[in-house]
Amino acid sequence: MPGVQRTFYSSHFIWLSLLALFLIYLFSSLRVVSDITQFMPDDHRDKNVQLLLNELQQGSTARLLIVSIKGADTEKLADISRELKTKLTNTNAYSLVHNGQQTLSSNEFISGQYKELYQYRYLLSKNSALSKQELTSSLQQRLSELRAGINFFKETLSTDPQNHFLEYLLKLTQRANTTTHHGVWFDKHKTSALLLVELNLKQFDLDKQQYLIEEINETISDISNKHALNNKLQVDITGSASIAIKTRSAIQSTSKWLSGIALTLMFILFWWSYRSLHLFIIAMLPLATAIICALAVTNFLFNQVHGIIIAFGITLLGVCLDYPAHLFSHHAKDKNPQHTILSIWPTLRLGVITTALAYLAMLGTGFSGLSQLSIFAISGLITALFVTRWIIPYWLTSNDIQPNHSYLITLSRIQFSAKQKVYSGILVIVACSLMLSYNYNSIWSKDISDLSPVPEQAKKLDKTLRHAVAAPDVNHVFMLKNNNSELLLQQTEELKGKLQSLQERGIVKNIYAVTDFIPSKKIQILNQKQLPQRKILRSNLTAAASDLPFKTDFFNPFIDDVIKSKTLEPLDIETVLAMPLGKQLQQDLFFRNNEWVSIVRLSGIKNDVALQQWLENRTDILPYYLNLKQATSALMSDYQKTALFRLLLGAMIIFIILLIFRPKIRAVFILAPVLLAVLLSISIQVLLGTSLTLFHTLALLLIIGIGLDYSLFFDRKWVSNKDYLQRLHGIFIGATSTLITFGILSFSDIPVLSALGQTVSIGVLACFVLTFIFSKSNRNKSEYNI
Amino acid sequence: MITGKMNHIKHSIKIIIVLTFFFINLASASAENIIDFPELLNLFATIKQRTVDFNEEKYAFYLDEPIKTSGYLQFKAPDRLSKHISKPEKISQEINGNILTIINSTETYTVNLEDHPEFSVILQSIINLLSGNHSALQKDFKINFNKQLTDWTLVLTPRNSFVAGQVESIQMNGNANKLSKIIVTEANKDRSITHIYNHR
Repeated sequence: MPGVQRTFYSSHFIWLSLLALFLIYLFSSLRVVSDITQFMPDDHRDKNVQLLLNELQQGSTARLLIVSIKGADTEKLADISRELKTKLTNTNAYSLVHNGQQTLSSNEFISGQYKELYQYRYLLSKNSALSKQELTSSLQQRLSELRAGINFFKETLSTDPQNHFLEYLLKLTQRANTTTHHGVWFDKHKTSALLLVELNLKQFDLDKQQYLIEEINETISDISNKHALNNKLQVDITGSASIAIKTRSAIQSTSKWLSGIALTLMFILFWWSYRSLHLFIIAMLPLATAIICALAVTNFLFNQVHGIIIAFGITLLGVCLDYPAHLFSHHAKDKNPQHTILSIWPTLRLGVITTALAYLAMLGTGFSGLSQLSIFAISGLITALFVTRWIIPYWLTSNDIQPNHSYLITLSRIQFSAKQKVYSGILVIVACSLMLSYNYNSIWSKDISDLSPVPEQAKKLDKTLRHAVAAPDVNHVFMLKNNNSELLLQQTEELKGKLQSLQERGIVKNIYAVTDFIPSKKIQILNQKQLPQRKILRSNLTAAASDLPFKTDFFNPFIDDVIKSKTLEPLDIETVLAMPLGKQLQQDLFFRNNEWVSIVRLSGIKNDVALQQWLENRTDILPYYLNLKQATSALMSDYQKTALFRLLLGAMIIFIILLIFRPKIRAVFILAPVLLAVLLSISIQVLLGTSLTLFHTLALLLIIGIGLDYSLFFDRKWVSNKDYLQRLHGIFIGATSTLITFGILSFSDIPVLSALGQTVSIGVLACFVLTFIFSKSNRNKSEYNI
Repeated sequence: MITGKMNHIKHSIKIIIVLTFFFINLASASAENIIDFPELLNLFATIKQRTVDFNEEKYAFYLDEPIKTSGYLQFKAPDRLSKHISKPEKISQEINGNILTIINSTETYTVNLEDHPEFSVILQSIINLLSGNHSALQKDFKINFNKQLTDWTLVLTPRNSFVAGQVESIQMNGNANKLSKIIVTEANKDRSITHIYNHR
């Protein structure tokens, strides 16, 4: 057999070389991304939504963490919050740590980080408070503070007796939580101390983020030990970075336990079916090769692989276990493995090619995620097919597989008449129609977060803590863009002015815009113009201080600074962003795609309906309004429609191919049970109260692939009852292994994976039953004497 | 005779005065026999709660005339000190641990004393004296203690260089376990003088 040997060496050489090549490539270049925007369409009609989503996922907002500490009395918690702030601030790893503590000091204005900005204080905010009355009120306030012993800003008393600059900076800390207890932020129930921490990271580096979050936890643990709390504290951390890490670890742990349990059960299944460890090991070869190859090809073509695709794609490829199962079940001691594979090869090949082509329909949708998944599945399926065809038979020893289990014999005796097949088809259609029409409005999910692989608990925690710190609502924002930064600031000021009415009507609590901190040059010049002449200011000040104990010439530096401010050049965006304050404004103002973008946010929205009604009549404001929730719902809908359309297209492709290779009626009988199984699977999901997402649609494609495989094998001609039992055995093992994998997946914490698990489990069961019912009824070997 | 009688009377008065002083001192000394600073602190430590009235004058380089306030102070061991200004306007200040809460007619401020060591050190010096915490005082200050009979003067000089750059000294005067005056002198020679009376 020199020819066989030559083929053995060449096939194994190619297989092992490619495997080594792919592994080297993956170790050096695999880039896993985990944010949902990577899964968004490349060319969505609403660029603004995409820009905002990108900013939320990758911008400064994404680096922000909310830390909640509870489990001790409030005084201790406040101490811990302060100590944590001090410790974190002392390292460079965190760019901002806010806990409500007032730590501004006049030294920072005179010689510290705000020195430069301090000179511009009379340009940056309104100066209507320089009249005699206002100055009197300010000076009396300072006197009252001196009586109370609060003279923390005595160094700037002579230059800024109104605390003009302090008031300006305080607006920054007022953007978050309002419940202050023992001098630090607490939730409204005063049980948890809250902090906002911004990670000092330029890149979205998950490992670095994980390290920094662990460092926060360790620091809190050290402080807790110091206070003899012995880890009694409960620390919760949320934020994009924290969620990404929780998701990654959830996926990792799910993968671990899932693969552990699945492997054990699979081993039991293979042992029960084939009584061979050897077969179990070689059955894993196509799957393992398929995963490696799929990862490498996807990463090569897209320069990255989405985390969801890895989790989802690998489970999709679980179907590859069916291929060696078919081979093992069809193999007999007296047969050459090469002959066995050749005997099932046309059916196996047709099944894989049609499924791969159905996945091809998911390409070119403009949704990068779908394209990645499509490539992942196609490359994986074809690799598994090749390995099953050219590698596995060489390792298939002379095991005599006797598929003579009594269940198979019982199953093989069950037959369905044509009438029964039609009735069962009608029954499925009617039942599904009823289920779907009854739950028509809740069939499709409208919430983009349903697409996210984030564990449910992490989502809940994030929502609670965001609410607790009163973080500005990300669902209602106004986005303005302009090439010219000055014009953008002017537009922002104009918009904010128009929005004030919402605040006055009590519909929203606060409106935040970057112009609160960097007014346009136009406004800065206006502020300059408001500044009085030296003579007038001196006269106002003298009058204001006349009944107060302050020395008359003490405030001369203040007069000098005001007069000097009149000649200062207004500040521009770039200068302010380069200052320390700039770091805190990045979520409101950023430069993307050669444009300046300004985001105006609302917080404390008391009435959503009133807000929508108010907006409806404001055509001058509406174009800037972005309702992220609505927009992403529309996006989801687009996504689902596209995926559903492509799914139907895939089914059409399969049908056309079947028509080429099989007679019309048989093509119908091959595809009908598969489609009915798909229908049954989604109907049961809807009946269980699950709103279908894109992933369900993709899972349906998987069901089609698996079902088609069963249907084609059932449709094969057989030469003997033993032959029939062998294929029934192969299909049964394939269905059971798929049920085991996806059944376990149903219990995953990750919504996407559990959805996939449930859908496919039901689908595969339905496929097995329906393809069995629709298979050829006459099992008399004389009919087919091939 | 008269002279002799007068001398006798004078002598008797002297004896009475001396005896009176003796008994007065004996009465005080039995409870307040101050020998040194730690002993004074022990005397303070025995009183867990006290209320006193005060008059305060603040002198600063930017003021033409001092800012005058009056009201009462309350102390509750080990570390609760509150100051209630009643004139010329109502302001109350309360220290609880590291947190100073200030309430005036319009606003409530919360100050973390850790963030303002120069301010904290003054308040903590009073609290530590009243609670008799010798080690805390020694940790923060160089201590100069003088006594004359039951009167004493305590001058505290901050050890921390940053604080010393802000606060030159805190001088406290008293009689036995009664604090009567606090003079805080800032590095720029601004100072506040607090007279304490009506101990109860």
